[in-house]
Amino acid sequence: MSNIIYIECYRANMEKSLMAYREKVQWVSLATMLLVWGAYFARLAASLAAGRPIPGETLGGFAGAVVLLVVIQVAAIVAIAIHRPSEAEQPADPREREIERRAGSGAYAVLSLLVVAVMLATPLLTIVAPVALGRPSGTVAAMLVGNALLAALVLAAIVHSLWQILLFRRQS
Amino acid sequence: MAYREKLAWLTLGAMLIAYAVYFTWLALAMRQGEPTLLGILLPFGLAAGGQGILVAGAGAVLAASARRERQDRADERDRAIARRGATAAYYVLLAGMILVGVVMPFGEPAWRIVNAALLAIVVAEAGRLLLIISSYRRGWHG
Repeated sequence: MSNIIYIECYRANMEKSLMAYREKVQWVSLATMLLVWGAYFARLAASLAAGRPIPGETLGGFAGAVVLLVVIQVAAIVAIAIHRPSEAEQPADPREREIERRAGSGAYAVLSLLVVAVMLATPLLTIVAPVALGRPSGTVAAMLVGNALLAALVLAAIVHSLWQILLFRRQS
Repeated sequence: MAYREKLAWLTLGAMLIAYAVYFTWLALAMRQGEPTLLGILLPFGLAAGGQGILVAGAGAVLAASARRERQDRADERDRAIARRGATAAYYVLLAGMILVGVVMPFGEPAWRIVNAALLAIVVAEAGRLLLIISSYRRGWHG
């Protein structure tokens, strides 16, 4: 009985959060990346499927995606920090640093493999794909290689966030 | 010296030799005009193959001379050092890919983009191995 009262007092007085601050940040990061980059790559895929990839439009879409991502992430992280200022001010503890290292290690493997895959696929992206699209120009070839590397970057960042969330969940 | 430290030295040395030769060749080839993607394929294959043979050969000698150490499973410190190196390399490669995949496509030909990506991987991997070596040297415990 006394234990139950103790637990109730602890939760009422300390207002301990059920989710770590850094886990919330990773959720925000994951959700915004899926939303913004998902929309960007869906639009790019639609323009490629229609056979009219326009590098200028892709550049505009990319710049818009980066700005949107930064604005949403900064706003969400500031909101979380305002809600729990004490948690946001604390430096990462050893457990959180270990989680970050494990996730970073996995994301590095994913990013390295994807970059090597893009490099190996470069002849396909620069010679075959522009011809198949009916736009055999160097700009379209460079746009395809650039977007393939961007996709690798985004996938690795998603793995990085997802891995951290899984480790936080498993250890919570 | 720990077996995994020796292995890191070996991998670093082989990688630096192979890609120093490759990028020197590329710099000399660029003086004579723009190399094509297919033209750089053979030198790259030779560099990557040479690195693989060097690591496999010297790795086999190293494994034979330290058989007991090689059979020991990585302990918690070994794993922490490996993760530390990989995490630092991830951020190096991330920065490199932002430059290569986001900035370069707006003004550089494909062969330059591919070689810049390769250079980013070599720099990230060298950073990872150097951090592993320095962690063993300095007695880092995680």
